[in-house]
Amino acid sequence: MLNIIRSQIYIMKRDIYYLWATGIVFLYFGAVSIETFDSYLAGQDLSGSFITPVITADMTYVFLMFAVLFSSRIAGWDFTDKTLNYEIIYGHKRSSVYFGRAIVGIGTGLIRSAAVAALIVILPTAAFGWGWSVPVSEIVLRYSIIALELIRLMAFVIMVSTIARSNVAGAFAGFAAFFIPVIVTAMLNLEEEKVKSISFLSSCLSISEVSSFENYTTDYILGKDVTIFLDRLEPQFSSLLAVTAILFTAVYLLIGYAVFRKADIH
Amino acid sequence: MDKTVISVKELTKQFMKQKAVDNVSFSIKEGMICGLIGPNGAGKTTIMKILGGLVLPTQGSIQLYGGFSEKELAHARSRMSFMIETPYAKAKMTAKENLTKQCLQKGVPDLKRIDEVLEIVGLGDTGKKKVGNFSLGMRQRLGIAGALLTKPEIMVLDEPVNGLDPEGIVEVRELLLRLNRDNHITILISSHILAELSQMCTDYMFINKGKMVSFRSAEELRKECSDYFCIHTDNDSLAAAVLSEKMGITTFDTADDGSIRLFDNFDDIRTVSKTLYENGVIPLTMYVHEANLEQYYMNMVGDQNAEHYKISDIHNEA
Repeated sequence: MLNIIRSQIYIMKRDIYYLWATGIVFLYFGAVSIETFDSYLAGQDLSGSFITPVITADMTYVFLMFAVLFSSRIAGWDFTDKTLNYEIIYGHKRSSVYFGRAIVGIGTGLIRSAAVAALIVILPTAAFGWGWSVPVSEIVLRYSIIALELIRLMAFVIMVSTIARSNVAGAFAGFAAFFIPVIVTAMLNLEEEKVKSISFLSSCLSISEVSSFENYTTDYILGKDVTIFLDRLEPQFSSLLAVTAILFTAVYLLIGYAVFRKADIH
Repeated sequence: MDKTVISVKELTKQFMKQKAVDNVSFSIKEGMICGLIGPNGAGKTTIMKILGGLVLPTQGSIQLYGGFSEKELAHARSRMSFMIETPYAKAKMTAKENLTKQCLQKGVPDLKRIDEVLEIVGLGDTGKKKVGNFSLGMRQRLGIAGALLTKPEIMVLDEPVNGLDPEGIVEVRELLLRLNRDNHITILISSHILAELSQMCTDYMFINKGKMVSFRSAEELRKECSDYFCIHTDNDSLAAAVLSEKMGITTFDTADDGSIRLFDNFDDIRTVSKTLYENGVIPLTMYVHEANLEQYYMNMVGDQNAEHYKISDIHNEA
């Protein structure tokens, strides 16, 4: 499996797709950050704890793009030119071929998403200090759940890419799985509480839930008006999201492997 | 050359309604160069894919180095190399980059081997040219280079000379013969170029419509492809009866033009012609026909019912 991981990393360094994908997503991140700053943050008393929640809510699609574009490419592209065949005829077990790619696909998407998350947290904190708007622990908890949901989404994309033997099919399925629940809940005009109660069923709904801070108040601290975000993830709800994310991840990966293990590779 | 390295038993592969491989069994011993011969769609590539683990058999089993579990087969494949169909390569990478990737996939620590194999196959000067711009022959050479990366003990090659110019074909043939002779590499090779196979193989497998038609050593094949005596007479059916009843000869058949092909006894042709004449058959022409592998192959796969006629069949037709 280690050899498969090494060869995938070697290809990624030479495949211009990854460079383009990373560049475009980071451009989008920059554009959204600027727009968010202009819309919500201009004129505010800034701090890391204030900026991070505001920008995080708008970064959902950045995480989505990294997750889907990278995991689908790594899992499905080598079916197209059959270079995946070498791994089997070279004596790697099918489990190594499949899970080796899953590790690289998930790891790559996570690392880039983590880079974005780090920028969101570190830059404003370095510039303005953390502040009092929300505790660090709350941000850590929410980002941890976002990470698990991204892993779940990537596992789904890897499953589809493997079964369909196509990175395009995997990417399409990933984007569909992300947007369809949002569209459906909007069309049904569901109440917020109802959406929250079913959010564990979908990565998108879960990420939307944990990345948004709806309730806030203003307090006067150390001579300044400070916005305080009141929303906190309940332990029961966050546990539910984490467990279902892990469970669905395992199910998707195992389904993908079950199909791949018995498939004829032409 | 006694150790069996590849063993296939009652192998069958069904794709939807079609049996691509139908109850095939064979064994390949260490040191053999075994030619796998058959027309397009015969099942050659499917057999190689099953050996390589790309395709799973519907029925039957394979053993590589005596191992048959998934783990044992995977380990055995690490000692082998395969080149199946058109070699797989990343079109936007160079030859060296593709082979580097393969080295990483296979866990080959010595990347200097890449330059060695590129020189061996004549791609040492491709530099930054992307594989996507390679000709078919160059891609074939790259596939052979990939098969040589790890100094395998067994090579399974699916039409390796496809697309090569005559000079390239000779180079590959000499390379494979040298590898077999000097490094004791066992080779399973499929090809349509029968003349090429006849210059290197120690054994031959003929396959048609998924079924094994024949497995012969080079020596056996040489004898079977040997000459026959062709006799045109004025009465072929009577001639056949004379040969079988008067002379006790049964190893003959009748060609499409009515001539009789005698596979034995043609060193005693005076007795044959005398006996025919005495029994009212006039030999019109008699000559030795030298057969070859290609003709043998056409007989094998062209007409499955081309058996030697029995005397009763000839009487019925008369």
